[in-house]
Amino acid sequence: MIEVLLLLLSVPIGLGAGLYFAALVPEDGLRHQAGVVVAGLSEASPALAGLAVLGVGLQGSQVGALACGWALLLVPRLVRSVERALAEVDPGLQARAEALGATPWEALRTLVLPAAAPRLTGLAVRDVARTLGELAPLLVISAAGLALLQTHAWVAGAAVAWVVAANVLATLLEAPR
Amino acid sequence: MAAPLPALPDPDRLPRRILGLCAALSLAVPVLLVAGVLAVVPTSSGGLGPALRGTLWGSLVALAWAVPVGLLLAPLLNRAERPVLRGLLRTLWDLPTVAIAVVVGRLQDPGTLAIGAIGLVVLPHVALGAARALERTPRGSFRAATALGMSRRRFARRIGVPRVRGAMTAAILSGWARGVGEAVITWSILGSGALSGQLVARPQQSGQAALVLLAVALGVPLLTHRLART
Repeated sequence: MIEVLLLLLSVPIGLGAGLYFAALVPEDGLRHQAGVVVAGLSEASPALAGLAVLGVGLQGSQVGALACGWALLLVPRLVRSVERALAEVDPGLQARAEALGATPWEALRTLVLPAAAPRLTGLAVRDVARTLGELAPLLVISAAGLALLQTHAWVAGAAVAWVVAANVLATLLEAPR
Repeated sequence: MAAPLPALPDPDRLPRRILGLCAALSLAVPVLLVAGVLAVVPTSSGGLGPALRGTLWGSLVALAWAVPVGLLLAPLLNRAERPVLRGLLRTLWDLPTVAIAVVVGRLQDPGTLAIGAIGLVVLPHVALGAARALERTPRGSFRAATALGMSRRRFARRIGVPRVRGAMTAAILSGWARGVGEAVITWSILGSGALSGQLVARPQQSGQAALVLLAVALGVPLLTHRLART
Protein backbone atom coordinates (compact mmCIF):
# COMPACT_ATOMS: atom_id res chain seq x y z
CA MET A 1 0.00 0.00 0.00
CA ILE A 2 2.79 2.40 0.95
CA GLU A 3 4.63 1.46 -2.23
CA VAL A 4 1.62 2.29 -4.40
CA LEU A 5 1.17 5.61 -2.58
CA LEU A 6 4.86 6.37 -3.14
CA LEU A 7 4.52 5.60 -6.85
CA LEU A 8 1.46 7.87 -7.17
CA LEU A 9 2.61 10.72 -4.93
CA SER A 10 6.17 11.15 -6.17
CA VAL A 11 5.10 13.49 -8.99
CA PRO A 12 2.99 15.89 -6.84
CA ILE A 13 5.61 15.80 -4.07
CA GLY A 14 8.39 16.68 -6.51
CA LEU A 15 6.40 19.47 -8.16
CA GLY A 16 5.19 20.87 -4.82
CA ALA A 17 8.68 20.79 -3.33
CA GLY A 18 10.07 22.48 -6.43
CA LEU A 19 7.49 25.27 -6.20
CA TYR A 20 8.20 25.73 -2.51
CA PHE A 21 11.98 25.86 -2.88
CA ALA A 22 11.93 27.99 -6.04
CA ALA A 23 9.23 30.53 -5.27
CA LEU A 24 8.22 30.66 -1.63
CA VAL A 25 11.55 30.53 0.20
CA PRO A 26 14.02 33.43 0.61
CA GLU A 27 17.14 32.86 -1.47
CA ASP A 28 19.60 33.33 1.34
CA GLY A 29 18.00 30.98 3.82
CA LEU A 30 18.74 27.47 5.01
CA ARG A 31 15.58 26.14 3.34
CA HIS A 32 16.81 27.37 -0.03
CA GLN A 33 20.09 25.53 0.53
CA ALA A 34 18.11 22.39 1.33
CA GLY A 35 16.38 22.84 -2.01
CA VAL A 36 19.75 23.14 -3.76
CA VAL A 37 20.86 19.86 -2.19
CA VAL A 38 17.68 18.04 -3.26
CA ALA A 39 17.86 19.47 -6.79
CA GLY A 40 21.57 18.61 -6.89
CA LEU A 41 20.67 14.95 -6.70
CA SER A 42 18.81 15.22 -10.01
CA GLU A 43 21.91 13.89 -11.79
CA ALA A 44 22.48 11.06 -9.34
CA SER A 45 23.12 7.77 -11.05
CA PRO A 46 20.53 4.97 -10.94
CA ALA A 47 23.38 2.85 -9.57
CA LEU A 48 23.32 5.02 -6.45
CA ALA A 49 19.56 4.69 -6.14
CA GLY A 50 19.98 0.93 -6.58
CA LEU A 51 22.57 0.89 -3.81
CA ALA A 52 20.28 2.92 -1.56
CA VAL A 53 17.38 0.55 -2.23
CA LEU A 54 19.69 -2.33 -1.37
CA GLY A 55 20.89 -0.53 1.74
CA VAL A 56 17.44 0.19 3.13
CA GLY A 57 16.56 -3.49 2.73
CA LEU A 58 13.98 -3.35 -0.05
CA GLN A 59 15.75 -5.69 -2.45
CA GLY A 60 13.40 -8.54 -1.56
CA SER A 61 10.30 -6.72 -2.77
CA GLN A 62 10.12 -5.80 -6.45
CA VAL A 63 7.31 -3.27 -5.90
CA GLY A 64 9.06 -1.77 -2.89
CA ALA A 65 12.35 -1.44 -4.77
CA LEU A 66 10.51 0.01 -7.76
CA ALA A 67 8.63 2.58 -5.66
CA CYS A 68 11.66 3.59 -3.61
CA GLY A 69 13.91 3.89 -6.67
CA TRP A 70 11.22 5.79 -8.56
CA ALA A 71 10.87 8.33 -5.74
CA LEU A 72 14.64 8.64 -5.21
CA LEU A 73 15.27 9.37 -8.88
CA LEU A 74 12.18 11.37 -9.81
CA VAL A 75 11.67 13.82 -6.93
CA PRO A 76 15.05 15.63 -7.28
CA ARG A 77 14.61 15.83 -11.06
CA LEU A 78 11.17 17.43 -10.70
CA VAL A 79 12.52 19.91 -8.15
CA ARG A 80 15.29 20.90 -10.59
CA SER A 81 12.80 21.14 -13.50
CA VAL A 82 10.44 23.43 -11.59
CA GLU A 83 13.40 25.67 -10.74
CA ARG A 84 14.50 25.75 -14.38
CA ALA A 85 11.00 26.45 -15.70
CA LEU A 86 10.33 29.25 -13.21
CA ALA A 87 13.74 30.79 -13.88
CA GLU A 88 12.77 31.31 -17.51
CA VAL A 89 9.72 33.45 -16.58
CA ASP A 90 10.17 37.23 -16.38
CA PRO A 91 11.48 37.74 -12.83
CA GLY A 92 9.65 41.07 -12.50
CA LEU A 93 6.23 39.45 -13.00
CA GLN A 94 5.87 38.20 -9.44
CA ALA A 95 7.29 41.41 -7.95
CA ARG A 96 4.89 43.58 -9.97
CA ALA A 97 1.91 41.45 -8.98
CA GLU A 98 2.88 41.61 -5.32
CA ALA A 99 3.34 45.39 -5.59
CA LEU A 100 -0.25 45.58 -6.84
CA GLY A 101 -1.51 43.70 -3.78
CA ALA A 102 -1.38 40.03 -4.75
CA THR A 103 -0.04 37.58 -2.20
CA PRO A 104 3.03 35.50 -3.25
CA TRP A 105 0.86 32.42 -3.79
CA GLU A 106 -1.74 34.36 -5.80
CA ALA A 107 0.99 35.83 -8.02
CA LEU A 108 2.54 32.40 -8.45
CA ARG A 109 -0.77 30.64 -9.19
CA THR A 110 -2.35 33.18 -11.51
CA LEU A 111 0.66 34.64 -13.36
CA VAL A 112 3.96 32.82 -12.98
CA LEU A 113 2.71 29.23 -13.18
CA PRO A 114 0.60 29.74 -16.33
CA ALA A 115 3.59 31.42 -17.99
CA ALA A 116 5.90 28.57 -16.98
CA ALA A 117 3.39 25.77 -17.62
CA PRO A 118 4.47 24.73 -21.16
CA ARG A 119 8.16 24.49 -20.27
CA LEU A 120 7.38 22.86 -16.93
CA THR A 121 5.15 20.25 -18.56
CA GLY A 122 7.82 19.39 -21.12
CA LEU A 123 10.53 19.07 -18.51
CA ALA A 124 8.34 17.02 -16.17
CA VAL A 125 7.38 14.59 -18.94
CA ARG A 126 11.03 14.15 -19.89
CA ASP A 127 11.90 13.54 -16.24
CA VAL A 128 9.23 10.86 -15.92
CA ALA A 129 10.38 9.22 -19.16
CA ARG A 130 14.03 9.24 -18.18
CA THR A 131 13.24 7.83 -14.76
CA LEU A 132 11.15 5.06 -16.31
CA GLY A 133 14.10 4.21 -18.51
CA GLU A 134 16.44 4.02 -15.57
CA LEU A 135 14.18 1.84 -13.45
CA ALA A 136 15.28 -1.26 -15.35
CA PRO A 137 18.95 -1.11 -14.30
CA LEU A 138 17.88 -0.07 -10.83
CA LEU A 139 15.65 -3.14 -10.51
CA VAL A 140 18.43 -5.38 -11.77
CA ILE A 141 20.93 -3.88 -9.34
CA SER A 142 18.66 -3.97 -6.31
CA ALA A 143 17.36 -7.47 -7.06
CA ALA A 144 20.64 -9.06 -8.07
CA GLY A 145 22.28 -8.75 -4.71
CA LEU A 146 24.86 -6.41 -6.14
CA ALA A 147 27.88 -8.39 -5.02
CA LEU A 148 29.98 -6.52 -7.51
CA LEU A 149 28.84 -3.01 -6.74
CA GLN A 150 29.27 -3.61 -3.02
CA THR A 151 33.01 -3.51 -3.59
CA HIS A 152 32.47 -0.09 -5.12
CA ALA A 153 30.34 1.16 -2.25
CA TRP A 154 32.93 3.65 -1.01
CA VAL A 155 33.25 5.06 -4.50
CA ALA A 156 29.48 5.28 -4.75
CA GLY A 157 29.37 7.13 -1.41
CA ALA A 158 32.02 9.54 -2.67
CA ALA A 159 30.00 9.93 -5.86
CA VAL A 160 26.94 11.03 -3.84
CA ALA A 161 29.07 13.69 -2.14
CA TRP A 162 30.58 14.70 -5.47
CA VAL A 163 27.21 14.96 -7.23
CA VAL A 164 25.84 17.17 -4.45
CA ALA A 165 28.98 19.33 -4.24
CA ALA A 166 29.34 19.76 -8.00
CA ASN A 167 25.70 20.70 -8.42
CA VAL A 168 25.81 23.21 -5.56
CA LEU A 169 28.88 24.73 -7.20
CA ALA A 170 27.20 24.66 -10.61
CA THR A 171 24.14 26.42 -9.16
CA LEU A 172 26.36 29.10 -7.62
CA LEU A 173 28.21 29.58 -10.90
CA GLU A 174 25.00 29.82 -12.89
CA ALA A 175 23.48 32.44 -10.55
CA PRO A 176 23.20 35.88 -12.17
CA ARG A 177 25.75 38.40 -10.97
CA MET B 1 -5.33 53.34 24.63
CA ALA B 2 -6.90 51.51 21.69
CA ALA B 3 -6.72 47.75 21.61
CA PRO B 4 -4.34 46.37 18.96
CA LEU B 5 -6.03 45.33 15.76
CA PRO B 6 -6.45 41.58 15.33
CA ALA B 7 -3.98 40.08 12.90
CA LEU B 8 -5.44 39.38 9.47
CA PRO B 9 -5.49 35.73 8.43
CA ASP B 10 -2.71 34.87 6.01
CA PRO B 11 -4.42 33.80 2.75
CA ASP B 12 -1.28 31.92 1.68
CA ARG B 13 -1.13 29.83 4.81
CA LEU B 14 -2.75 26.64 3.50
CA PRO B 15 -0.92 26.41 0.13
CA ARG B 16 2.34 27.33 1.84
CA ARG B 17 1.83 24.54 4.36
CA ILE B 18 0.98 21.96 1.70
CA LEU B 19 4.00 22.90 -0.42
CA GLY B 20 6.15 22.99 2.73
CA LEU B 21 5.04 19.44 3.51
CA CYS B 22 6.05 18.37 0.00
CA ALA B 23 9.43 20.05 0.52
CA ALA B 24 9.89 18.30 3.86
CA LEU B 25 9.05 14.95 2.25
CA SER B 26 11.52 15.63 -0.57
CA LEU B 27 14.29 15.98 2.01
CA ALA B 28 13.90 12.26 2.61
CA VAL B 29 15.63 11.70 -0.75
CA PRO B 30 19.17 12.76 0.28
CA VAL B 31 18.65 11.14 3.69
CA LEU B 32 17.60 7.81 2.15
CA LEU B 33 20.38 7.91 -0.45
CA VAL B 34 23.09 8.56 2.12
CA ALA B 35 21.63 6.11 4.65
CA GLY B 36 21.20 3.40 2.03
CA VAL B 37 24.72 3.72 0.68
CA LEU B 38 26.16 3.86 4.19
CA ALA B 39 24.26 0.69 5.08
CA VAL B 40 26.00 -1.13 2.23
CA VAL B 41 29.46 0.25 2.98
CA PRO B 42 30.31 -1.98 5.99
CA THR B 43 29.85 -5.11 3.89
CA SER B 44 32.28 -3.91 1.23
CA SER B 45 35.71 -5.35 1.20
CA GLY B 46 38.84 -4.00 -0.42
CA GLY B 47 39.10 -2.72 -3.93
CA LEU B 48 38.78 0.91 -2.89
CA GLY B 49 42.02 2.15 -4.43
CA PRO B 50 41.66 0.59 -7.89
CA ALA B 51 37.95 1.37 -8.00
CA LEU B 52 38.53 5.01 -7.06
CA ARG B 53 41.41 5.36 -9.49
CA GLY B 54 39.43 3.64 -12.24
CA THR B 55 36.37 5.84 -11.69
CA LEU B 56 38.34 9.10 -11.65
CA TRP B 57 40.54 8.03 -14.55
CA GLY B 58 37.60 6.85 -16.65
CA SER B 59 35.59 10.02 -16.05
CA LEU B 60 38.59 12.29 -16.71
CA VAL B 61 39.55 10.56 -19.96
CA ALA B 62 35.90 10.66 -21.02
CA LEU B 63 35.89 14.40 -20.27
CA ALA B 64 39.02 14.83 -22.40
CA TRP B 65 37.10 13.91 -25.56
CA ALA B 66 33.55 14.90 -24.58
CA VAL B 67 34.32 18.49 -23.50
CA PRO B 68 36.01 19.64 -26.74
CA VAL B 69 33.34 17.95 -28.87
CA GLY B 70 30.57 19.43 -26.69
CA LEU B 71 32.07 22.92 -26.84
CA LEU B 72 32.38 22.63 -30.63
CA LEU B 73 28.74 21.55 -30.93
CA ALA B 74 27.45 24.36 -28.67
CA PRO B 75 27.85 27.21 -31.20
CA LEU B 76 26.18 25.01 -33.85
CA LEU B 77 23.20 24.57 -31.56
CA ASN B 78 23.23 28.26 -30.78
CA ARG B 79 23.69 29.63 -34.30
CA ALA B 80 20.44 28.41 -35.78
CA GLU B 81 17.43 26.28 -34.97
CA ARG B 82 18.75 22.73 -35.18
CA PRO B 83 15.93 20.56 -33.86
CA VAL B 84 17.48 17.28 -35.03
CA LEU B 85 20.87 17.82 -33.41
CA ARG B 86 19.26 19.22 -30.27
CA GLY B 87 16.79 16.33 -30.18
CA LEU B 88 19.60 13.81 -30.61
CA LEU B 89 21.56 15.33 -27.75
CA ARG B 90 18.46 15.44 -25.51
CA THR B 91 17.74 11.79 -26.29
CA LEU B 92 21.34 10.92 -25.48
CA TRP B 93 20.95 12.85 -22.21
CA ASP B 94 17.85 10.83 -21.31
CA LEU B 95 19.29 7.43 -22.25
CA PRO B 96 20.08 5.26 -19.24
CA THR B 97 23.82 4.63 -19.13
CA VAL B 98 23.26 0.96 -18.61
CA ALA B 99 21.79 0.77 -22.11
CA ILE B 100 24.90 2.34 -23.63
CA ALA B 101 27.11 0.17 -21.44
CA VAL B 102 25.36 -3.05 -22.45
CA VAL B 103 25.64 -2.15 -26.15
CA VAL B 104 29.30 -1.22 -25.77
CA GLY B 105 29.87 -4.38 -23.73
CA ARG B 106 28.97 -6.52 -26.75
CA LEU B 107 31.92 -5.07 -28.63
CA GLN B 108 35.57 -5.94 -28.21
CA ASP B 109 37.87 -4.22 -25.73
CA PRO B 110 35.18 -3.05 -23.29
CA GLY B 111 37.70 -1.36 -20.97
CA THR B 112 38.59 1.29 -23.53
CA LEU B 113 35.06 1.54 -24.88
CA ALA B 114 33.74 2.24 -21.38
CA ILE B 115 35.39 5.62 -21.66
CA GLY B 116 33.40 6.15 -24.82
CA ALA B 117 30.22 5.20 -22.98
CA ILE B 118 30.90 7.62 -20.11
CA GLY B 119 31.83 10.31 -22.65
CA LEU B 120 28.50 9.81 -24.41
CA VAL B 121 26.79 10.57 -21.09
CA VAL B 122 28.93 13.66 -20.49
CA LEU B 123 28.68 15.04 -24.06
CA PRO B 124 25.05 16.27 -24.05
CA HIS B 125 25.54 17.91 -20.65
CA VAL B 126 28.46 19.93 -21.96
CA ALA B 127 26.96 20.76 -25.37
CA LEU B 128 23.48 21.75 -24.16
CA GLY B 129 24.83 23.55 -21.08
CA ALA B 130 27.33 25.54 -23.13
CA ALA B 131 24.63 26.34 -25.72
CA ARG B 132 22.39 27.66 -22.94
CA ALA B 133 25.28 29.78 -21.70
CA LEU B 134 25.85 31.21 -25.19
CA GLU B 135 22.15 31.98 -25.57
CA ARG B 136 22.37 34.22 -22.52
CA THR B 137 24.96 36.49 -24.13
CA PRO B 138 23.17 39.64 -25.33
CA ARG B 139 23.36 39.66 -29.14
CA GLY B 140 23.52 43.45 -29.19
CA SER B 141 26.84 43.51 -27.36
CA PHE B 142 28.64 41.83 -30.29
CA ARG B 143 27.18 44.29 -32.79
CA ALA B 144 28.01 47.24 -30.52
CA ALA B 145 31.59 46.03 -30.00
CA THR B 146 32.22 45.46 -33.70
CA ALA B 147 30.65 48.86 -34.52
CA LEU B 148 33.18 50.40 -32.15
CA GLY B 149 36.03 48.70 -34.02
CA MET B 150 36.63 45.62 -31.86
CA SER B 151 37.78 42.50 -33.70
CA ARG B 152 35.94 39.17 -33.31
CA ARG B 153 38.93 37.66 -31.51
CA ARG B 154 39.24 40.58 -29.11
CA PHE B 155 35.47 40.51 -28.47
CA ALA B 156 35.65 36.79 -27.67
CA ARG B 157 38.64 37.29 -25.34
CA ARG B 158 37.48 40.42 -23.53
CA ILE B 159 33.67 40.12 -23.47
CA GLY B 160 32.32 36.82 -24.83
CA VAL B 161 34.39 34.26 -22.93
CA PRO B 162 34.33 36.08 -19.53
CA ARG B 163 30.55 36.32 -19.79
CA VAL B 164 29.95 32.63 -20.37
CA ARG B 165 32.95 31.20 -18.48
CA GLY B 166 31.01 30.54 -15.27
CA ALA B 167 28.06 28.89 -16.96
CA MET B 168 30.32 26.78 -19.20
CA THR B 169 32.34 25.64 -16.21
CA ALA B 170 29.06 24.76 -14.53
CA ALA B 171 28.03 22.71 -17.56
CA ILE B 172 31.36 20.84 -17.59
CA LEU B 173 31.15 20.21 -13.83
CA SER B 174 27.60 18.96 -14.16
CA GLY B 175 28.70 16.63 -16.93
CA TRP B 176 31.63 15.37 -14.91
CA ALA B 177 29.37 14.82 -11.89
CA ARG B 178 27.14 12.58 -13.95
CA GLY B 179 30.16 10.90 -15.53
CA VAL B 180 31.57 9.99 -12.12
CA GLY B 181 28.22 8.68 -10.96
CA GLU B 182 27.66 6.66 -14.13
CA ALA B 183 31.24 5.36 -14.21
CA VAL B 184 30.44 3.06 -11.28
CA ILE B 185 27.73 1.18 -13.12
CA THR B 186 29.51 1.29 -16.49
CA TRP B 187 32.70 -0.21 -15.08
CA SER B 188 30.71 -2.76 -13.15
CA ILE B 189 28.85 -4.00 -16.20
CA LEU B 190 31.82 -3.89 -18.55
CA GLY B 191 34.55 -4.82 -16.08
CA SER B 192 33.06 -8.14 -15.03
CA GLY B 193 30.67 -10.65 -16.44
CA ALA B 194 28.76 -10.97 -13.15
CA LEU B 195 26.07 -8.39 -13.65
CA SER B 196 25.84 -8.70 -17.41
CA GLY B 197 25.68 -12.48 -16.94
CA GLN B 198 22.61 -12.04 -14.77
CA LEU B 199 21.12 -9.73 -17.37
CA VAL B 200 21.55 -12.43 -19.99
CA ALA B 201 20.48 -15.24 -17.68
CA ARG B 202 17.18 -13.65 -16.78
CA PRO B 203 15.89 -12.13 -19.99
CA GLN B 204 12.23 -12.58 -19.06
CA GLN B 205 12.56 -10.63 -15.84
CA SER B 206 15.04 -7.95 -16.79
CA GLY B 207 15.61 -7.89 -20.53
CA GLN B 208 12.02 -7.43 -21.62
CA ALA B 209 11.32 -4.91 -18.86
CA ALA B 210 14.44 -3.01 -19.87
CA LEU B 211 13.31 -2.97 -23.52
CA VAL B 212 9.83 -1.69 -22.67
CA LEU B 213 11.18 0.96 -20.33
CA LEU B 214 13.80 1.96 -22.87
CA ALA B 215 11.14 2.28 -25.58
CA VAL B 216 9.14 4.54 -23.27
CA ALA B 217 12.23 6.59 -22.45
CA LEU B 218 12.97 7.05 -26.14
CA GLY B 219 9.41 7.48 -27.37
CA VAL B 220 8.03 9.99 -24.90
CA PRO B 221 10.64 12.74 -25.48
CA LEU B 222 10.11 12.40 -29.24
CA LEU B 223 6.35 12.67 -28.76
CA THR B 224 6.81 15.70 -26.49
CA HIS B 225 9.02 17.31 -29.10
CA ARG B 226 6.38 16.82 -31.80
CA LEU B 227 3.62 18.12 -29.55
CA ALA B 228 5.67 21.19 -28.69
CA ARG B 229 6.11 21.98 -32.38
CA THR B 230 2.41 21.74 -33.26
